[in-house]
Amino acid sequence: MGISRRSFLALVGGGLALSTARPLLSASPWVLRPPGALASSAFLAACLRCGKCAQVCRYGSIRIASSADGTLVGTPFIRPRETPCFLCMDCVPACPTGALRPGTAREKAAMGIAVVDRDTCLAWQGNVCHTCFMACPFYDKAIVLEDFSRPVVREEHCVGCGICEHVCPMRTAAIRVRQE
Amino acid sequence: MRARLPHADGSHPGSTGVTQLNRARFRPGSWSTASAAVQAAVLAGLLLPRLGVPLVIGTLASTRIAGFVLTDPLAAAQVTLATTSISWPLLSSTVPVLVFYLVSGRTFCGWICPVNTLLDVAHRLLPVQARIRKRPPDGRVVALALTLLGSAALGMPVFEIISPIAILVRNLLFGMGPEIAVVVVLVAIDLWVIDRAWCRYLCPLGYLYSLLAALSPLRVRIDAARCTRCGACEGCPAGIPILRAFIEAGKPAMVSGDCTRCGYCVDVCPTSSLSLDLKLRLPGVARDRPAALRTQQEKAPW
Repeated sequence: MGISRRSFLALVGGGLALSTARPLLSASPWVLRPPGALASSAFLAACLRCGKCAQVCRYGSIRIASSADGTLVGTPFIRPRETPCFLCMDCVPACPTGALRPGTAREKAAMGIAVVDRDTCLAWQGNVCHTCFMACPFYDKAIVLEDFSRPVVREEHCVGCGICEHVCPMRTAAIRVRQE
Repeated sequence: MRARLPHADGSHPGSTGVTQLNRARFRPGSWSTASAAVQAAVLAGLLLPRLGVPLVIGTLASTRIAGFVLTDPLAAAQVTLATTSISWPLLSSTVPVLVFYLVSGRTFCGWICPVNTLLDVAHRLLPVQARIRKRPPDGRVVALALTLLGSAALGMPVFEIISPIAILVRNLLFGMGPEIAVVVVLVAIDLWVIDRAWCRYLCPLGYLYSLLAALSPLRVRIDAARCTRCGACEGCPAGIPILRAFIEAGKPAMVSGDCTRCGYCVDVCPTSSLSLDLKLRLPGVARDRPAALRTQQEKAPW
């Protein structure tokens, strides 16, 4: 039993079509994923693009990417400057494939790490501002104040929820969530 | 009513092989009414979370209905291949879906799929006829192979990303994106180029369900004595030549994995020769009605 020429050509043509679908499929810049998300490539393999995580998110933090959103189409992502993750963890049990690790505790959300830009941060520039320190859900653990004034992120406690980035009073946030 | 005879070339009066949905009217109790109601209910259910009623969560890849998770078997297969790991909760959530389609046949396509719903609406609103009447090659096996191989090779569930079904549902639920062009092009091809091109010749999901449907006990029963060879059933959305392939061969029922059990043929048949029949029949048991009834019907078939 052989494969017909027509089927072979269709397979080759389909392969080419798949490869031209790269804008929809290919890897793209890092984005903040929902809490408990697997590491990038494992997440993209397991995520079914079903959108349940976004639908159960009571804050509307989780969005589903269209092909114009700069990440893989159909995947969930968070823009913390607009709406951060408040770590209710409701999205985790909604995930049918384990792309969001089942049973993830909020302390283990491991979404990213907040990084302070000391050149623009008000406190680091000598002014008085404790906004991110006060808003952090892991109070005095993930963000601590150096000399009672300047915010410092402690990576072992920060999960990257983005609340600090959301509340930062600077026009461009001086504390932003980055890849872990 | 006089029985019309086939043309010499084998075609039938009124038979084009092109979907003619408007022939099936929305009468109370008709299959067209029932399937349209279910199609509307599926869309409404999926859209409930947009209205703040999270009773049905998810898309057709995976849906949680009142706490109960149902996952599309093809979606689960892609994730299993992409992750190269087996998730039992995921696979067990496909079992009710598999059982349902094993029994009911390819009803996903005719009753649930929102792309088919969109095409049905398009065909009813714009009764145009596709240009190309010749059947293109059936690419569904290749599409299914590419879906599975592509998911393993690229490490992603490829069909869930690029399929018009997934794109349509996601765009309805989470806002429109440029990728909706895929759906627009598909509808245009369907109306003006090749009738039901996606559903009949390309969709790997419909093909998977048509493989499962081979064992389904839900079939279109044929009463050949009543058939006038009018050809109305040849406007079937799934493109099944019931008249030529089954009625002329003297079959008691239309057995086809490609049949979406939409009931179109039953609705349009002017002599009620066709019926959807879910009775489980053991092989070898006579399908014919009692002889007395049969002769009576042969005398006055309609």
